Amino acid sequence: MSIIKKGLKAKVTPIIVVTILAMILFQVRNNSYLSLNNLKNLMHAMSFAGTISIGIAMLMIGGEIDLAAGAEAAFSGVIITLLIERGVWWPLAIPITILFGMLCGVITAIFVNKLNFMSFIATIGIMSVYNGIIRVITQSKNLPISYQGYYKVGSTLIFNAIPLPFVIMVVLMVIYGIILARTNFGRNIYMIGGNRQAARLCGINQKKLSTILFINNGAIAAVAGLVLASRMHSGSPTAGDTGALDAITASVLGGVSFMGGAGAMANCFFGILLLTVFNTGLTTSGLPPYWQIVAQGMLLLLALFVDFINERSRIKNLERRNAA
Amino acid sequence: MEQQKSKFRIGNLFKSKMLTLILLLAVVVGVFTIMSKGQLLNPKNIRNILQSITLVSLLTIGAGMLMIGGYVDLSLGGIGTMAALITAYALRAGAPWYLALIIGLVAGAVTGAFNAVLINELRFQPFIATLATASITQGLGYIVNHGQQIDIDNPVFNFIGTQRIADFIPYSIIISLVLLAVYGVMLKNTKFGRSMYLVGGNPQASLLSGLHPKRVSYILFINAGVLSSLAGILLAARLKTANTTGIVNQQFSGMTAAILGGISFGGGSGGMGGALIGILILNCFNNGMTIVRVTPYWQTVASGALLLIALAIDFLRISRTKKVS
Repeated sequence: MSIIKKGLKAKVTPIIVVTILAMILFQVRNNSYLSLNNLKNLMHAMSFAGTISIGIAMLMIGGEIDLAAGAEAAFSGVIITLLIERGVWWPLAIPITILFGMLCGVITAIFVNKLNFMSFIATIGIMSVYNGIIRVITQSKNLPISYQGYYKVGSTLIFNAIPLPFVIMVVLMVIYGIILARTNFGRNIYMIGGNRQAARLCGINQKKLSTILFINNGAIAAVAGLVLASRMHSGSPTAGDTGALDAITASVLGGVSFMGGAGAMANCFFGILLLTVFNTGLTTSGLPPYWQIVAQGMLLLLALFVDFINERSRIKNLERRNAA
Repeated sequence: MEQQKSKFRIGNLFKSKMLTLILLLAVVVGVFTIMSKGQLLNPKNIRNILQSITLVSLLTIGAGMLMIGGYVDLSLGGIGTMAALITAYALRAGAPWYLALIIGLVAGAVTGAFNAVLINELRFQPFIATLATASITQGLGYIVNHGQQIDIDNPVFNFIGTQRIADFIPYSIIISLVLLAVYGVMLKNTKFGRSMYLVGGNPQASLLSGLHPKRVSYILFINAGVLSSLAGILLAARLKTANTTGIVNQQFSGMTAAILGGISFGGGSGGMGGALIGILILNCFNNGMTIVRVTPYWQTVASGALLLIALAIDFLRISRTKKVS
């Protein structure tokens, strides 16, 4: 147990160190960076991709991926907007939207588990289908939500400082973290991600598990989308454009291995934190927004590189132990 | 005996990939010809289709070769866009056309090599590594000229980009068709080409039989980088300007055309003949949607659906061959 704990620590430590260094650097460049107001923005900014990253991380641990998650979130934001504008009571509209997200998950799962498509290429196709449909529905414009009662989901501040979307993200991360670390179901996910063949021989129904993960991912994306819609007071067709990539970057940064079978929810939090610190920091330092695109790619490579080093040292340790 | 042989051949023809593909092409052309009341096959429209084929086929060769070797590269759109901007920048700085072209292609080659290093030396998953390269190249494209487009005003580039033989066949399509033929012959008739299938189908076995899967993968990624740079540069030459969107939106067209043309995603199968028909199907489909006035939003939906259909065809093909064996 202590070995596992040490391993997790080692994986996430460099990310935390880089985050703190980056925060100091950005504070030096612009001394309002660590102001309460900007920290509030930071928390707001990380909650969308952070929430999506929960579903994505679960899928990645299980050896799958969903590149359409951002589009699903945007789609859900549009759906809840339509529902509320048609006069549906908003506490009822929320579960309907989540059900819709789950339906998206079912569709993906059919492609991946029934037709055996590779999940990443199938979800690229699904992504453009959803993106197209969203643009058809909205005519590529933001659909405003006129009912103000719904705004509070996205804009409520707890203790006057912590935005509700951030709290929702953290609560979900804790719940899923516990599921992953403490339940049979969670451990089975690691199993199918790490070694599908062995998992099958142990009697784990891989297809069933992966279907559950896709449906779960759809539901979480829907939550992210409906919270964002509330905060922006509208359903936006472009909301999800970077969502999935941000979430993947965050998960990999947090040490969720792309090969499946490794990672944890707590790390995911630090991954999304680092990514958001970078993005907001580059903006407040006055650099043009396109530097964010470069930074994101660099961070992803950095994350993969850390993963590579970890993996190599793990294998070396194993070899040394075997030799001894 | 003679008769049996010919029967066997006809049976083969019906089972062959090519026939399914040609039938699919005929269906697409037929449907859109009827829907557009003959406009699809109007000479003026064929002219447009020829133009779009140029670009997609370069991307298809690059992506298709990678897929045969068992790899994938999601940064091809980013590479092409960046290379076009670099070429335009060099031209504006006063470089002669051949030097600017070479600089652009080398930028593509270097990025391709970078991808290959990530994948071979650091063992990153091709898909995620190239996703990272995609955002880096796209960002670099913005940085080249602060997010602004660069106009190209060079007689040679304008000639290649916009002139046509007999005012009909664009000169640039010759480049694409020649390359398709060259790569097709290479895949079929050279040792290197055939070794690619083995590397894609079973890298372990290829290593044991004395091939160099690593070397092949370097070549494939550099090759794809160069070809997509060429695609990006040709588009910029046609538009007389290099912009930051470039060929980013076309990169999945290359993959879709390759899959449609029978290049399997699992690696180890397919060829350039099929890819050519895949390109024709894709371009007739896209062009057909435009001329029957499908809104661009629905075109996005349809191109995603087409990718899924291509995958489904691929799936059926694989499951059928499994049944046979």
